[in-house]
Amino acid sequence: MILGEIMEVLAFKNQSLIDHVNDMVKYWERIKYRYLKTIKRALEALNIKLDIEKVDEFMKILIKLHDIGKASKIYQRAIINDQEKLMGFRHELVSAYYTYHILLKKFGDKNLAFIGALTVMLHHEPIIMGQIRNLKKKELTAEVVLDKLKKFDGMIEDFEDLIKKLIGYSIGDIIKNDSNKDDIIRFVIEMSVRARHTPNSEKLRFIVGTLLLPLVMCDYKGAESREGKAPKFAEVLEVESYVI
Amino acid sequence: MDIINFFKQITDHEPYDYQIRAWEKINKIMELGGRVVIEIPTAGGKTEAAIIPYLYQFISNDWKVPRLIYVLPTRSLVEKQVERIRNYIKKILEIKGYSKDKVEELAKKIVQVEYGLEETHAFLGFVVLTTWDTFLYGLAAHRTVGDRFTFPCGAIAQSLVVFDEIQMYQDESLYMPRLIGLVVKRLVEANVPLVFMTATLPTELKKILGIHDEEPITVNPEDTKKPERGEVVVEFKEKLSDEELSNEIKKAINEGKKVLIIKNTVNSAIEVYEKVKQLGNSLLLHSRFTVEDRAEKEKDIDKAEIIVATQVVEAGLDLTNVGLVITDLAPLDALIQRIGRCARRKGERGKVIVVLPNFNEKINEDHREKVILGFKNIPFENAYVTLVNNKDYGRVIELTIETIEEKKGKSKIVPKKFYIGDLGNKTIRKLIENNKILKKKDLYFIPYSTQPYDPLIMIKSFDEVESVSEYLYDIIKAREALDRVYKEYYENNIVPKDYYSAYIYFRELKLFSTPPEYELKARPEMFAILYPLENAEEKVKNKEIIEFNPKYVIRVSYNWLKNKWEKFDKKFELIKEYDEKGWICSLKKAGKLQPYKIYIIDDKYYSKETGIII
Repeated sequence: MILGEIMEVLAFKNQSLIDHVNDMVKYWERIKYRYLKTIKRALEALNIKLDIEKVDEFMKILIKLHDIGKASKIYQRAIINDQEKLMGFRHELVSAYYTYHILLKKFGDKNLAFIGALTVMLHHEPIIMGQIRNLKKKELTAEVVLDKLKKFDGMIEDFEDLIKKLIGYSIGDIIKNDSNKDDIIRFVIEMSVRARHTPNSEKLRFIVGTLLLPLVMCDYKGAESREGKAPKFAEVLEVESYVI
Repeated sequence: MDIINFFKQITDHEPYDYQIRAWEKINKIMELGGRVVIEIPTAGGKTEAAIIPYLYQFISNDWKVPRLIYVLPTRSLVEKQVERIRNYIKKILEIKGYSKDKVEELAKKIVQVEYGLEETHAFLGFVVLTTWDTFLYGLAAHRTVGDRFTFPCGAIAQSLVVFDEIQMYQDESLYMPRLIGLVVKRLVEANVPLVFMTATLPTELKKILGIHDEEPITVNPEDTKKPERGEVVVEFKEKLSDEELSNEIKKAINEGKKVLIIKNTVNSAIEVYEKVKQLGNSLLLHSRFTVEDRAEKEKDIDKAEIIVATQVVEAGLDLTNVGLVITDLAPLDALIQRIGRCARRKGERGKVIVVLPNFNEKINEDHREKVILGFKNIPFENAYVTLVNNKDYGRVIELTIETIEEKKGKSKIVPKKFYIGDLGNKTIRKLIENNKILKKKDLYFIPYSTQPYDPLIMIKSFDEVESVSEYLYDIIKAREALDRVYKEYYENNIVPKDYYSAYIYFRELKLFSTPPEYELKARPEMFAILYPLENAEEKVKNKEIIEFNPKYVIRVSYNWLKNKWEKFDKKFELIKEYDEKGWICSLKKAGKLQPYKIYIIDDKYYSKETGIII
């Protein structure tokens, strides 16, 4: 499904979030033939049983929502105005919050929502892990989460419309519309603790990694039309992207 | 096109029955996860048994796994396998109608090699060939690109992972098999489809690897289409005189056959090579060549009439028309592999001569009552056998035998200990030289050096030599024999500390955590790198910038280098510094020898023909 233009929420300086997501969905349609069954198999390791159509739907939700945290006021201000600094704000933490609740509503499976949200939370793994190190921590602790979200001051006004356009749900039907900063901070801390301390946490690296790879591929491809030099990792991803 | 026709089209062969059974099982695990073990004698088409279900997806377009990761123990095996798989990919692309140029271009891109030398460890692509250490480092979030700790792990989890030649993953403390076992457990829990391929393995090793409860796929007696190899006659000789050696080689070459000589150590390989090189087009291959020279030699191996090598050729070498193999006695599994290099094709005939490594006739003659070659002819029961570091004799085999002694009309069980050393043991050699060994009532010896192998395994392998040709064809008999040979080895083996720390390391790897500080060792043996360079001393004096070429490095064991260190008169260390133009390499005088460092040696210590000369 290609989404129509609704507003100028930006993903990058010269690419709207909608354009970015549209390009990613298009790319996913091209490459998904290689990944659907492998994702299905990986999810089964956590006793999550989805048919192929549902796997496809699930992945598309991750694609559509992975950058939804960019529809935050702070991110949009910073992208338009160079004077406004993000001060370490990480949009993927906010994205994970909405992804979790929307997946839960769509699929009614807490485990699946958990895995999907973790994948979104990790889609800039090198950046978040680098920032954890900069704060002299070894894990995504409560202190790190507080630091990463200290500048967060809510979502943009048109957020409700954006979500409706992307997912077809009204956000109010899913979570209370006025999710505040504390809800998101609490959620991210809980996710991090659960990811590291649940009994099957060793297995999560494999399952989340399985979902992360196509999401990151789509993210790079979806950002190609923005201006500027392509990131170096795009070259590494090239060998994965031939269509035979 | 079904999978059988697909196979016929890309290989020009009918599949064997066991290959079809393997494909059915692999197809299932590609969809659901799980393990498949393929246990087939050498030259039996194992690679095709493992990879065809993956390759068939290019035609069926029903992709159950996006990627094949093929793990091998050594780089030289990777290099050989890359070409083989690339050729299959080319045929697939031809079937799909690609032009000749496009076929070449795409085949290169589709088959990737990952050694972890570049900063990726991302394991991306359609077919990725890699070594075990690179695979492990990727999985264990070591040396990944940037801080992408989860990415390589995800690439592995998506794939069909094939571990080939797993019999080669053994080491003295069984560290590597234990590590593989640990990794296998994690991968199985995550539903990753895994294929293990091997010649025969001892049962206990299978347990450590975590694959013992899988019924292996092998050739069944009722199979009508099965791999058949040529006929091999195995002879055992304590020693082959220079004249006998030369006559055997001449005879084989006159019959138009190739000769393969496998020695246990580099030095003895060089020694034999010097003796036989004038008898025909000869080639020497061992681990102490530069990467570039070794690759060249591996390429030229098909053209050679006489190949002298160390154990580097034990597995993966598929030479046609080898009519004579002369090999040192080696651990039984290695011996089966070495013999397996002979007469690999149906209709070929070959001869194998097993000799004792550098057997010392004089010592044998003078101390006959003290010499032990095998256990078969020594009558003892209920002995406890182990390898120990004895304070008087050094590293020796210790036999504890319960004897009954009568004292004051009462019988008492008294344990008595006997020791067996080998000529690689300095203490034993000294006792022989000083004629003192005959006085040591509890000491016996093996009349050759067992290095680099365990003397206990060598003695027990000797006991199996006369039946070894049967083991080449009969996997059950081979496994029973290996269980006999390795019985004490597994019973006595203590789990090394390194394994426990690796276990904890893996347990601590979590999402949103930086990997704990830990030097994970994928190889238990420490190594160092040597780099031969012309006029090295002058370059240091003039503070010259060195153009470092990774193709000129030689990886050697740290212990070996420690022993030889003083013999290199001038040695230097490589210094790498970063400036705005990139990495700059220069030299400085070598400090204290340390593992994993790059040391520059003068090029007078290196020859393209024989490798490091020291």
